[in-house]
Amino acid sequence: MLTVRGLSKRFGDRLVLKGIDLEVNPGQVVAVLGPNGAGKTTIFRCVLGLVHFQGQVLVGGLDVRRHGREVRRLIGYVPQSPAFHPHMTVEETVRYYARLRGLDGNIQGLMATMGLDSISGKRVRELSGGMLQRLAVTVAQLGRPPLMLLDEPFANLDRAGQAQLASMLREWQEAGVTILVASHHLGPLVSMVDRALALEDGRVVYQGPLAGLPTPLAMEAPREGEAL
Amino acid sequence: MTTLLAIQWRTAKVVLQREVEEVLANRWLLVYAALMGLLVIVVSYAGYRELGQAAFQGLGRTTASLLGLASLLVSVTSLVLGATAVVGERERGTLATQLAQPISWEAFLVGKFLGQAMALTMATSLGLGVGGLVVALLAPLDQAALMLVFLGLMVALGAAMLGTGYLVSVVAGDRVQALLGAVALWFWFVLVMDLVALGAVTAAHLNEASLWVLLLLNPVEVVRLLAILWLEPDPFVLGPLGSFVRDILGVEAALAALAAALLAWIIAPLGGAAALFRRQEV
Repeated sequence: MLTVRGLSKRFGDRLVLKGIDLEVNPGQVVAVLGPNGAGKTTIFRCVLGLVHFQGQVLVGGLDVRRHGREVRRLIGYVPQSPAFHPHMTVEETVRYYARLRGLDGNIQGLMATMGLDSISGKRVRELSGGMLQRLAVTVAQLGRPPLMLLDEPFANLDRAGQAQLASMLREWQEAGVTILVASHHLGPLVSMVDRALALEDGRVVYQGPLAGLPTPLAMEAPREGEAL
Repeated sequence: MTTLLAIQWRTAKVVLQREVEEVLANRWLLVYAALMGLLVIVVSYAGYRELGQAAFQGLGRTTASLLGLASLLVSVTSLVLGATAVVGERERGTLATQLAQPISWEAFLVGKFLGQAMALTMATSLGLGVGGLVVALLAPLDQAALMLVFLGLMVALGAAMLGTGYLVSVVAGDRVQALLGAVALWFWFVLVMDLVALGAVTAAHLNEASLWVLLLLNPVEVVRLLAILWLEPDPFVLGPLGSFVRDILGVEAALAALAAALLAWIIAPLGGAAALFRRQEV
């Protein structure tokens, strides 16, 4: 589903990604771990084609540099700090992003599933951090993309929200969706993760089963059920 | 190819609709429309005051008098709106959210431009329309069609300046830089460039062709001459440069050349902005 070869990225003088290689098969759940500044978010931005990079990124066999629009159709993205137009209502926002994806169908069902139906008329600027996160997850699901990139998806969510999102991710996994989740803490996702990719200073320092993480890195990854 | 264009247009249309709603939801555009309407009424009234009479002058004369002030207002509003368009979304984080969708970046930019241009057109029409209606009720209804020509020219000037603002917005590092750039450009077009042209003519004894080029490099001057040639091709109002253009080309050819220049001013800066935008990172 996702192939990354020799991915390097420089911001000015600073090399933030140094030759990353990654192969993710359809339906796999991969945790991208690492401290702040390790390059987790930058990998996602490269996969989406939002930044220039060296190396190669293929999504569903398509090169993101040549087929950016088609590649982004295959991806649902939940950014670390979701940002939507503040004056728009929740429903207008979901409808707007649905139309950008070329979808004109009914969005009410999805909004109800995400618990947004009761606040559909609320403006984005009035939303709490948790509600904004729910909105971002809702928008990412539009069109049921086969690859989900989740950047700190549990941030801003309370315990109930975390549990709900975890259960949703399990449903996605069962449906064969490929998931890359970048996080300091995996919390409820620990049991779902097929593989971990640990980054440090832009380099891959570990790639393999979560259980095999070297001790200092394992300190970063929480045990299942741990508070986030 | 046709399918690709259809997809691009569909994307641009979605962005356009959202943009119209967003711009119209901002009260300052209503303030702009109100100012434009007030300008029409005040200029109409002030025209006769100068002649020692307390009455409103008709639409034909009002339109001619309105040209300078309306150009200033339209150009500054459009430049500022355009200059904050892309950099504003970038700072808010909404640019990345939208560009992470399966859309073409150029279609996004064009849709955003068309939406803002449409909102500006609505506000300009509202201001000139209401102001013109008041004047038409209080003064003889002469040459009302000229007001429509004038509206068209102001809309075109707005589009040219909006596109120029987009170019500023794409290269600016932040919103403050973009605003400073917009204000600096506005001063350049409405004040400094004329002085520079005059100085160049005097100091360097420029030939007619160079003068013509200097004129076409300023969209505000292009619109001013277009309006005057259309409304009242009088040598006194045209000034030396305008008279020169009229004498060399004739009114019709001058109108065509100026209209082509204005069209280029609408397309070229936006095209430049789109080309730069495509190469950027989010």
